[in-house]
Amino acid sequence: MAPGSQLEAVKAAKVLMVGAGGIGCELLKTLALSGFEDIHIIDMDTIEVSNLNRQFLFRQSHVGQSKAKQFSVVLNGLDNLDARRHVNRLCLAAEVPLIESGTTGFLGQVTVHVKGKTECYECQPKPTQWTLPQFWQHVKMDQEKGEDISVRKFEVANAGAWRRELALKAIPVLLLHFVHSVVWAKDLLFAKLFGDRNQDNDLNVRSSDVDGSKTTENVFELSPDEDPISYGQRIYDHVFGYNIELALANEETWRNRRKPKAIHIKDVLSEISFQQNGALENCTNEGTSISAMSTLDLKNPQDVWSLEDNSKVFLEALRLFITKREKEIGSLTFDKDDQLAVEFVTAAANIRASSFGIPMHSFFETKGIAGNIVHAVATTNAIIAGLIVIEAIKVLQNDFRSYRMTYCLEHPSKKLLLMPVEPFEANKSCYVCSETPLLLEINTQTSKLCDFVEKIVRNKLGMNLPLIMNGSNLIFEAGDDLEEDVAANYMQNLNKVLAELPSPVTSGTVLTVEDLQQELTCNINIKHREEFDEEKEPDGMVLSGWLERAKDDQLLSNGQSTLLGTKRKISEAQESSENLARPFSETNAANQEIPQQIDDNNDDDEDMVMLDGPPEASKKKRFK
Amino acid sequence: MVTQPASDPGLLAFYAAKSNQPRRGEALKTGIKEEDDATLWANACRVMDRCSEPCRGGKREPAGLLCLPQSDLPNSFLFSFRRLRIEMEGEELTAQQTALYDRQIRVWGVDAQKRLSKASVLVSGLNGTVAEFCKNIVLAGVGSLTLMDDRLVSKDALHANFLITPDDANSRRSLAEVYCSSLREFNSMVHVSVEKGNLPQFDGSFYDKFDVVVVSSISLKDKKFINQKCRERKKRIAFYSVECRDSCGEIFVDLQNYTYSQKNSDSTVDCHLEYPTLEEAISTPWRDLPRKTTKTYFAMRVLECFEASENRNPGDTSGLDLPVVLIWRKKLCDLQHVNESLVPDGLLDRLLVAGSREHPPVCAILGGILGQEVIKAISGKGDPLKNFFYFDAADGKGIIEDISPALRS
Repeated sequence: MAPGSQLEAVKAAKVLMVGAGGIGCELLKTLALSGFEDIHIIDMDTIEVSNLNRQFLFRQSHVGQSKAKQFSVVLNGLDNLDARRHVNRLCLAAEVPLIESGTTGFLGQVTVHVKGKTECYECQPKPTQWTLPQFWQHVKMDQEKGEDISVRKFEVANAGAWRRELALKAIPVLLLHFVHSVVWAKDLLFAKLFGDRNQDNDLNVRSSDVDGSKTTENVFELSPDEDPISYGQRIYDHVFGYNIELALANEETWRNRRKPKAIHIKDVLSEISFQQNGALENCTNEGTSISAMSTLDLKNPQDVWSLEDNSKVFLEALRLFITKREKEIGSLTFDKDDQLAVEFVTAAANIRASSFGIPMHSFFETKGIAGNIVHAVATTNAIIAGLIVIEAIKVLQNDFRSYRMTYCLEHPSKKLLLMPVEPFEANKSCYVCSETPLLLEINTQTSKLCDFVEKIVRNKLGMNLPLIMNGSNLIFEAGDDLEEDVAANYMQNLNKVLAELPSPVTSGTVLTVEDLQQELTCNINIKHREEFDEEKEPDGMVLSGWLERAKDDQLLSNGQSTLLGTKRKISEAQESSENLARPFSETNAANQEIPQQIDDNNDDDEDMVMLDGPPEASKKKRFK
Repeated sequence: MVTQPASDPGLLAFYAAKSNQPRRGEALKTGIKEEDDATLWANACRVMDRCSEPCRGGKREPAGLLCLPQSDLPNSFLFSFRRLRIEMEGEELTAQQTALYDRQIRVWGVDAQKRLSKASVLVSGLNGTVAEFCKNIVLAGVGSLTLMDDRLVSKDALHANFLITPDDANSRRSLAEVYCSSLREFNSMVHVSVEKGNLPQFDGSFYDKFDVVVVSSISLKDKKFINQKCRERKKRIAFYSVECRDSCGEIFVDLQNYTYSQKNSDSTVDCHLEYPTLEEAISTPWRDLPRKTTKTYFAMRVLECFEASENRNPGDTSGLDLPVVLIWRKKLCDLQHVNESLVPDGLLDRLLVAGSREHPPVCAILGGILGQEVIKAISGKGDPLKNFFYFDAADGKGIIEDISPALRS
């Protein structure tokens, strides 16, 4: 139990924990043991970005007064960038200190964000989370150039910001190819068969090798008199046989690439006899416990099935969906906890992998890939929770000179397994915690307002309920409580090219973008630009002003040389980031001498580590 | 990252083909010399069985033992089974285990999880830090955990301890009993039990039941003694000690001669580490240690001398002891030919005032590090720490110190 004044501060504190997952559970225990008496918790699952606006905490009780204001400190144990950004903004608006955390496997980190004292969570650019089509597009470009798909792109597409910073983990190239197959099985095939059929299947269009035209559209329909097994065989032959043959017909595609081979059901299973017998029908399992693996007696999820087994699982899973979960078809979305769905995706991905000469993977591994499952160990969470409480106590005592961000490493760096680093001061041009205007280069003649809203306002600025104004004219507003005619008007605007809006947006226009919930306002200077580099600027627009765009681009085009060797450990990442760290008096020296980490002549707290853990470290200043 | 499962039929078929055509129906007994190889062989047959040809309808049918004289086998075949055996050891993880440990299996792999589920850990001396450690390894799915501490639960023990409820404080049960019933609720798949008595009084054979021994809240003398006992056994028993004094903590590790596999960029390298015992480690002349060695190391040694000389229980100290402790510091520093400034007054005072009080966040950190280390040692995966770990909430550093007599700076 903490002594004296510390105990007073702890007892009086009203703490908000955001996220009740792995870190949250450990944190709650450590807070309680440390003497905290007033702890409020919001569970992670209830603050998906999709329902942020419905959260009591996130609703404004009075204009300009967020509910967050009542707390002495906010402690984050979140798992996604969007929620982190949102909480950061609320904390800034309410001027409540924020302690942020994250873990992956044995790695973790804790950072402190106090307005006026340290940088905010968003002062450093966070990597954009790419959508799958973007990822897919990049993969295609790599293949065309004859390159292997880089580790980085997989990470960018699949990992959250924290994980990407932390776990620069080696992914074998063949596994990446397998990831393709999983993405295909999950987002194309599964979605096509069991999801909303009316929805645009982006990947379908993009995989131009396959003729995804109207003629194939009906193939996926189950005719009324068709039995599920024949239907399954028909689908099987279509996607693994016919489509591949079709793709093979285009010889140009395969000039420098290994040709896939078409797989037909009759070549794999000489006899299709699913015992539509007692054992099967007696199985009265409901919902997600229905399993093709148990019907087929495939017990070990770690086993890699043969092509034959995969084909059986494919047919059996499809059959089970049709016969046992008929009502859900048409509205299913992939869920990693849906046994049958994972079985189907595993089988489909493996059959496709087999067709392309890629090694097949087990159910267990496929589930991890398809569900983007975060590696987690309880010990790391416990350590991180301890570090959070240590920082929280400092924050409550306003002991800002002692604030530290701490990295928990898997391999020690200079003897340190837990590495404290002084927090950095706020980035003066951070668009979130300063009022710096942003600059957007965009083709105002071709880009539509909806592109701007999606790619910039939502993806880059992380706003959920934006309101966009051109001078005093309101051109767009999000929300579900709008008048019908107003909403219709906005819908029209969304589909208009910027320059053709009722109040045209052209070079020189200043747009004001606001999110009232986040109490965040940004001014964006628009600059018209005709052309964009498809590879380096896939959005077709470039936002700059608060961050080093050049650095971000470097990350995208030159990542290998700066931070991502193919096989890196975090300790090595730390080593390399030391090269980026620099003494605080310098402003722009790239090759500064590595600052001395531990000064053993001082007994006191002066012996600080002066380096920054995460890679993007070049523009930081030591916090004074 | 992509591990080939033990039962890969392709791999086995390959080796089977290389092994002069397996012949069925011959006596298995012929050609088996060592007991070890017999087990190996039985396992090999089990693997073969599982991989026998699937019959119609998708069901596998056991094909009966594949029997062939062992002498017929080329070495590579046996070798491959030796490797497979590691993966096959014990039973497969149950579906329940696989589901519960899913996230961590993704971190350290199935093999490690299997080894973990067969390991036995003994803990002697229970406190808040040890509670954190126990929770971590119970959640991780260690095979068994044996708890030793006959002290009755007191109100003081409630501090920094989530395994004891206020009701327990008046229950007149021992700490070990209370910990045991709480820990069982954390994970029903782990066998948690209580052993009564005082560890230093147990004879050597008792230690053979365990793979890992963790001690805390005991005197230096007992630590050295227990460490030595672990050393004397035929099997390798990992020894750990952990102490927390408020915001400061120390972990000591003795893995004896330890070989583990280290994953490099492309290959797995076998690494070898030689650990000193606690006695050997702390006998390292201070002048031989690097200048940067953490001051907590020296401060803890001074306190040990003080506690031993006054016959105090570990952590039974207060700020009032400072003058006497400073005399001990002088004695020690003179003996070691170092300047007294090596052990700052402030640090000594802080540790004395703290006594046996633990700061809960520090317990979580020490218990977390110790848990990870024990998991590493059991699974043979990951670089283990050698041989001291220090954490101090005052500067936030978690430092590894290698203090071995052979090490000269």
